[in-house]
Amino acid sequence: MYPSTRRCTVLFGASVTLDAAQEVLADVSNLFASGCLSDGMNWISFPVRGPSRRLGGDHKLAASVQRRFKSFGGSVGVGVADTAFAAFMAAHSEVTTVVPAKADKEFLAPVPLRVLSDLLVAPSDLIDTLIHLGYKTLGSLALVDHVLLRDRFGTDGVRMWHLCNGNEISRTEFSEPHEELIREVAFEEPLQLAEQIVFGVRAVVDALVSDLAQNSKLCTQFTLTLKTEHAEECERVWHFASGFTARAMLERARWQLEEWLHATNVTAGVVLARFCVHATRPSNSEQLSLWGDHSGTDVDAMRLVGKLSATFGAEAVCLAQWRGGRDATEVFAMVPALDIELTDVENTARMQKPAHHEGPWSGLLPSPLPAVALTEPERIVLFDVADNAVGVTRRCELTAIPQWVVRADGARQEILTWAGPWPIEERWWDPERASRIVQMQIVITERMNLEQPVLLRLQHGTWLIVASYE
Amino acid sequence: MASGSDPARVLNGVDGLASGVPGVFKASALTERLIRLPEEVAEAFPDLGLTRGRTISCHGGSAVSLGLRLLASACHAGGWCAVVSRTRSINPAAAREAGVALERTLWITADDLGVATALCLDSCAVVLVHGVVALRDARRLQARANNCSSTLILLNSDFAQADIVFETTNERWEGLLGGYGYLMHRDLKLHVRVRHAAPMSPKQLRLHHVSIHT
Repeated sequence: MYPSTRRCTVLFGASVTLDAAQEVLADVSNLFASGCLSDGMNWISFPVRGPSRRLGGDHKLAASVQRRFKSFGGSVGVGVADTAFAAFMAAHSEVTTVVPAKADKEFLAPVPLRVLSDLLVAPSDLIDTLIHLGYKTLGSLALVDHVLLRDRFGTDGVRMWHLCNGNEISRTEFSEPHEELIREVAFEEPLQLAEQIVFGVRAVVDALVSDLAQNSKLCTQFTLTLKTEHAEECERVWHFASGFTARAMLERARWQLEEWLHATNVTAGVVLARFCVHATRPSNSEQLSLWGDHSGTDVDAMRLVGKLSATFGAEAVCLAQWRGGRDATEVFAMVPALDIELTDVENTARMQKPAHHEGPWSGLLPSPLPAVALTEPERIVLFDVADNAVGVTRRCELTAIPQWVVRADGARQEILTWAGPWPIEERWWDPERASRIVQMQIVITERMNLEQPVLLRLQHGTWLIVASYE
Repeated sequence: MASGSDPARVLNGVDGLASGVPGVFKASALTERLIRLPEEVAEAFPDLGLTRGRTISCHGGSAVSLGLRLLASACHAGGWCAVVSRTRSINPAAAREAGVALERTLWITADDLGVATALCLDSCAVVLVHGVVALRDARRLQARANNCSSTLILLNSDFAQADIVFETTNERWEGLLGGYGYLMHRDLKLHVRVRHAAPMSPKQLRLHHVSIHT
């Protein structure tokens, strides 16, 4: 029995090639690389955990995958379930089917038993016998004691029973690697230090990565197995959706070695290191710059904006645009980045600067401006020494010297020093849009005698903390 | 104070760089693997700078201002920056004062900081995260940043396994005189802890600010 990973299976017609299917999945899920299963012709299956979380659930993922495959024409079936077999059966439904978690057994119950022989899971004569005995559906077979099935039909019987009960019968975490993707390094002398071992495997890893690169591929998942002279073994799977460089693979090797050699009582030196590449991706979609870094160019940024906007909504990804004004927290407005041509550097630079004729706004606080603007201003009350509430007069003078502040949560804090009040009267000629506010800077003592300067605003008779200098 | 050792000039990356032509820095982004750091902390590093791909954690009373200074230093060489938070919290005007290139900065709000930051690390040279990231996510993001050679700055996350941890204490503000004046600048103590390195003695630092109109 193997641990099951929730997966999505897509059945597609002859109009889609496997390469096209992989490209679509890479595009939709962004994490397509590991644990991908396929017969190479008309279905492909991949784990959904990461992509589902990103897209907001299995249903959205399934709908998105189906939409993309539909654009190729022909019939498409999409199914999501806990095990590979159930996902495969779900994909055979006429509509997109998402089997709820841990409900594979219930979903499979009404499926006819004949399916097992059609899919070559079990010999057809065995299925014929079972049907003659009265077991017509997977659900009916699931109720039989598996010991009886094992005694009567051997391993085939047990396999069928596990399938009917929604258990995973094959290793789905990753497919078996091809021989040429396995590299071994046997050390003549047992090595004790992580640095020595990493140095020893460097040439082999370099060769492995360059071999893959010659076929335009990047390794996205590999297993590193280490063995000591006393046959102690450490195996770990490393995965990175964008693909490993040789340096990154060696870095992972160093992490694994350091953890293993330090955390466990390894009794002998390492004599063998084996790298198995389990999954790759085409490298042409990820053009690295001259020194192997991401170039971080405008094109990358545009792609990022697209991805983030699709995931979190267009309003979630913004660029700052100069607006001016006297409000220290709203000098820049946020504009959705989707609406802006990011490759036009001059345009984006122009957005950030005040117009030539625009000087500093009278009433805007001088530098430094508060680093954190509170999205929900906090209501507070100011008190003087005699515990009378402090306000301002018509001439914008304080009624008393503020000494204490009572925060929204009831905490009473001392005011160390203060300045203001500074009145701002805007659009007084328009009764509807007119605003009259008063600003102040105060420094209060937080816990452990920390000095915390904040910006206050008096609006409609209430003092608010609108920003803080952190 | 001589201009070469003035912390404000170094922190703001002035020396004629801040107002430079964007295209020039884009070209150098390919070759520059080292990020210039404030002079006081640069001493802690063998190359007097920070190699790309590292994770920095800032906490303390002036974490946000310090994080913005580091963001400004890291984005000078070119490439895009991203500021990720759950709600719009960081003031872009303060970022501009710190020297951040706003024309190459994306402001992202997302409930799931981990996912948004992971996506940003793939495409941006520097990513600043304001908000608490779960320890498990922080470790993954650190590995991803390392792989992508992007710099990750975590604010107020208290991520002790970061490659570099900055902590600010003893902030003293100057400028307010009991009813008169304005907040001007602050003195603070900066504690730097570099992973796998001997602890450094705290540095006394004064943070100045440059007006956004200049």
